Amino acid sequence: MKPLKQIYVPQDSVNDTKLTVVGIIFKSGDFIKKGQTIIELETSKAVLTIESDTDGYIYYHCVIGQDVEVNKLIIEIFESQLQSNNLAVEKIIDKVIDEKVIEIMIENEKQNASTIFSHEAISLIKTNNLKETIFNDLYFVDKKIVEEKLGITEKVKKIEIVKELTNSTKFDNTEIKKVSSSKVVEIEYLSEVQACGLTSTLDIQINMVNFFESVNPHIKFLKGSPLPVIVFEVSRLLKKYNLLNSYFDNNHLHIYNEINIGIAIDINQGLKVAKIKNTDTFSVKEIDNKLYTLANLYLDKTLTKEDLTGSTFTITDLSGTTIYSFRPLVNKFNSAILGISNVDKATNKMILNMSFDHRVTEGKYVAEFLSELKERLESYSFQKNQSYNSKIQCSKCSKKLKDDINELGFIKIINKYGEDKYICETCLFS
Amino acid sequence: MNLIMMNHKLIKEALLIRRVEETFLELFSKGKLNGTVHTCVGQEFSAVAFAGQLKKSDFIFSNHRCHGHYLSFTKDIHGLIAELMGKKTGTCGGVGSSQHLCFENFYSNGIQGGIVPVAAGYALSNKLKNNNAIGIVFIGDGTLGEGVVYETMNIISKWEIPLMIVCENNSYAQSTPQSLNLAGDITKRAEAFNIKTFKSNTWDIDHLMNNAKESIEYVREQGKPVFHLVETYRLNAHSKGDDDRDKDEVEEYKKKDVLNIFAKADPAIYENYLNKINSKINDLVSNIENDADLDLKEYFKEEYKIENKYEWKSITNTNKRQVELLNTFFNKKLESDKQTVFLGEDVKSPYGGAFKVSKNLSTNFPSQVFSTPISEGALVGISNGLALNGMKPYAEIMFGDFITLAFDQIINHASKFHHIYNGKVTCPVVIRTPMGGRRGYGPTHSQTLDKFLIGIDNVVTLAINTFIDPSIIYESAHKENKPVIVIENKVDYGKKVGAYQSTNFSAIMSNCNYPIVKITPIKTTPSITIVSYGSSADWVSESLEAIFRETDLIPELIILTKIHPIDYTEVLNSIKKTRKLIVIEEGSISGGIGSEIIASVNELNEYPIITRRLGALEVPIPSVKSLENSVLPNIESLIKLIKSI
Repeated sequence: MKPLKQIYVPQDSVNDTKLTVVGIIFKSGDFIKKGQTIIELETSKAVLTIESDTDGYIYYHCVIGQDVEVNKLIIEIFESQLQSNNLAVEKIIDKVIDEKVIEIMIENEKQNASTIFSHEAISLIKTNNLKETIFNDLYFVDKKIVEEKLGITEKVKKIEIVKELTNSTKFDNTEIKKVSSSKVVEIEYLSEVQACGLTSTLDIQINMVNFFESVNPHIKFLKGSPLPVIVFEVSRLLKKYNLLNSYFDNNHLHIYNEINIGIAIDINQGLKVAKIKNTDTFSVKEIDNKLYTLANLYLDKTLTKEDLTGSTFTITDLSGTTIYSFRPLVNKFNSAILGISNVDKATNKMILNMSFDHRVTEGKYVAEFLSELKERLESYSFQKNQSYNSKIQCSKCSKKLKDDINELGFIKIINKYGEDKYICETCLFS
Repeated sequence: MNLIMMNHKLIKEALLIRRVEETFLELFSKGKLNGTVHTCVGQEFSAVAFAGQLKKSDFIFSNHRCHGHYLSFTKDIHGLIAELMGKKTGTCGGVGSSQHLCFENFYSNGIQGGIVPVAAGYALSNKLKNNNAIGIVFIGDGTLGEGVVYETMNIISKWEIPLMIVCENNSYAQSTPQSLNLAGDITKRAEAFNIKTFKSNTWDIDHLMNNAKESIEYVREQGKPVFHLVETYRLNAHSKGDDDRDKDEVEEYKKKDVLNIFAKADPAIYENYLNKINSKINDLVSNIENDADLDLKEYFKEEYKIENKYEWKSITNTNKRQVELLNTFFNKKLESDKQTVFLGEDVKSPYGGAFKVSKNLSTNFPSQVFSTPISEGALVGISNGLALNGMKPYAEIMFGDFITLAFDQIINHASKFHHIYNGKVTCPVVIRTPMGGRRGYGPTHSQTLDKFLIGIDNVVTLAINTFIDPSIIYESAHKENKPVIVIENKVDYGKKVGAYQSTNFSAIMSNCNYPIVKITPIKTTPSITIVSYGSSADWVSESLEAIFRETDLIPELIILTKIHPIDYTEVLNSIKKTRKLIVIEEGSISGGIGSEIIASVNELNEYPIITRRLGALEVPIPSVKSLENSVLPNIESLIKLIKSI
């Protein structure tokens, strides 16, 4: 049945969005006459009364005390009485409020709290087939909480697998040997960074053509090894790429303010990392000398605690083996490690591997570091091909440009006879 | 030589003024004065006639050229000289200097016209106290260019306020001759407002003295205002070295000058007076020279931004609309504290103010409620005067947009009185105004100008909201000694206070003078801090769940009540947990509250934090509903902003 009249909450003052029902004059279903007051609404200014402009049966869609929004349907008047519940009465959402109810509401507030999920949490829950009910004890579930939950679940699984394995590894054909204490220390030492699972390794290939020919004349002890030059170049590059000369701890990044390159040495007496303090202050020759000294100390087992601690970056050298490439592990209190593999005799190429802590930096940064290192290392080979290099020599000390392995170059000068000559950096500043 | 000329007391008084001012010019040349000096040489008898014939209980407001008025009224030669020499022993500790003096019932300020409504308010306070005291406000003819003078003339006439405006017409507005600046007739201006006028000059002293006395008596006896025009001439420059007047003209007036005539007529007596006065002044100057300057510690006291920890309690559902609660507060206050005065445009019942805050106040308390003409400058100025004279005025600016018309009164008067008079006075005025849009009122009735009202030195700026009973906030404002601006919001008036409900967030308020409301996630550490105030707090509080769902960040909302100066304790506590801060304001963000809060928080906080501001777009607020909604900050723009973090 179509109503004769529908009455909506009027807008009396532009500032009121809600009015309060303060008087309901009849009961729903009562017969009313034109001109009778049927409802009283309170605005912020006054009480408004609404009169019916027709006879009919009245039905209210509001209760006393309710705050009703402007333009909301509050009354309908019909020609005849309705069957009960025949009317699509809008559900009253607004609560009737009195002082006692308020108190109770505050009490209930906490009990009624429900779990709400962020959209990101929901999608993560769905993709992982989790049940929403496992979060029932929480009020807010964000992505992080779901991830934590997933992490815990994974960990539990792992432990279970390990349990299964340990239970079933009672192999008869094994001999049980206790791991050495130094190995335990090493495990602990390497676990620190690796355990988070956020390390990554990048590899780069270095063209070594003519490398040793140009480098060997300046090296006394480690002839045929790229190590001294690599230590030299890396120590200088680390000034620029200082994130690789740092470590991560408790959400903080600690960047070292000195460069102490640690060299992993393993000559049949267990793995040790011995450092060259302030590596970046030494020449290739000096580094060669230092490396030789450390190796001797290692062999004599006279490395001190000072030598073995405080390295800020590590280089591990397997160039003496026939290894083509490997993945080095980042040491505790370091953010990166550089691995040197064997120079392939056939191709004259060598692979450098660099593992780094992804919590500190990302692949692009390390890639840039490696590219620059490659460029620098390959420049040593390059010199030989420049035939004029051998002709250029210092007019003072007669050093040839090709012998200037620090790559600083010579300075062109004009001597007192007006001839073009050269001077090396050492003579220039001495 | 007429009879008054025989009254050597007047001669000595005028000569003292002239010699003190000439001494200032000498000291200025020696670099012993700060700033500049506006002398009244040639105009002294106006001071003698008016300021000299008032009672101690009367008052004076004067302008930049105020030394004569000061000396005639207060006789405080030492205080004046020390003040101009910038010494601690000066009447205002050397802070105010030449243009800003205050001693007993004497006040001066350097803003043209601004003192006129203040004087009217001061006089209105006397009228309300029924103490038979009257007041004089001195203006120059140049000040007739200021609109607030006419706003005030209208009001003092209509309200019968016992105030005399003395207009000293020296024919120049600084350097510009009156012929270029002034249209029409001076006294007719006052007559148009039905104010009784008098005319005198400083060359006929007999007439001047009698006429001044007569006009003072008229104001006192009739309780009505007077406009007294005094023709005079300034024999020196406006200030220092800025005199381009015709030399012959100045010479003419020098010949007419009563003191000069006296000096010629009776040189022996004149010399005698002069020597006595000179030696008195010289003694004072040499004593004062050794006085100390005011110490910074005595002048400026730092306020700390971080207060102690508060106690918290649940917000209370009042089940009452904000406007009802405001109305109840003012009804109670006007009843319990008879110093309380309520002023504003259209505030009289039955209308009861544009937003009905003052409904029935004028019928319940007819002597304390004043419906003003449409004169925001005068209305706030009068409130300032009432506050200076011991009343607690509440000035209502009908729409926040109109507060710009009262800025001079807020910034150059209310905020400064306490300091420029070296702590001798307080001006505890309260200015209330509704800001905000969302009603389609358009560009000049919807603005939120909060950013212009924060950062006014020594003014407390408050914003009420729908969470706290406004009477709690107004109760604290009532006790303030500083000027207070309260920002209300037109959309909040009709809302019920304390009705906030949420299942997952709990709303608590701090137990302090200006409570802070915190809406915090239940039993969960929040991951983003939102700071808001006023009506923004309302829509933000209702969007907290949506914010979490959409952004994966658990919000904690902090609603400030005191937006200047801000107590940052809670904001700092919250960002310690979240390290993310969003500030929401309804005006545009550049140079706004968000900038201020973020800068301060960064200074006070030791951790790096991510910050964002949300406000209105930088265009006038359009009437079109959909467009208005897009220009103002809203839930969509807030979520978008949070997602950008």
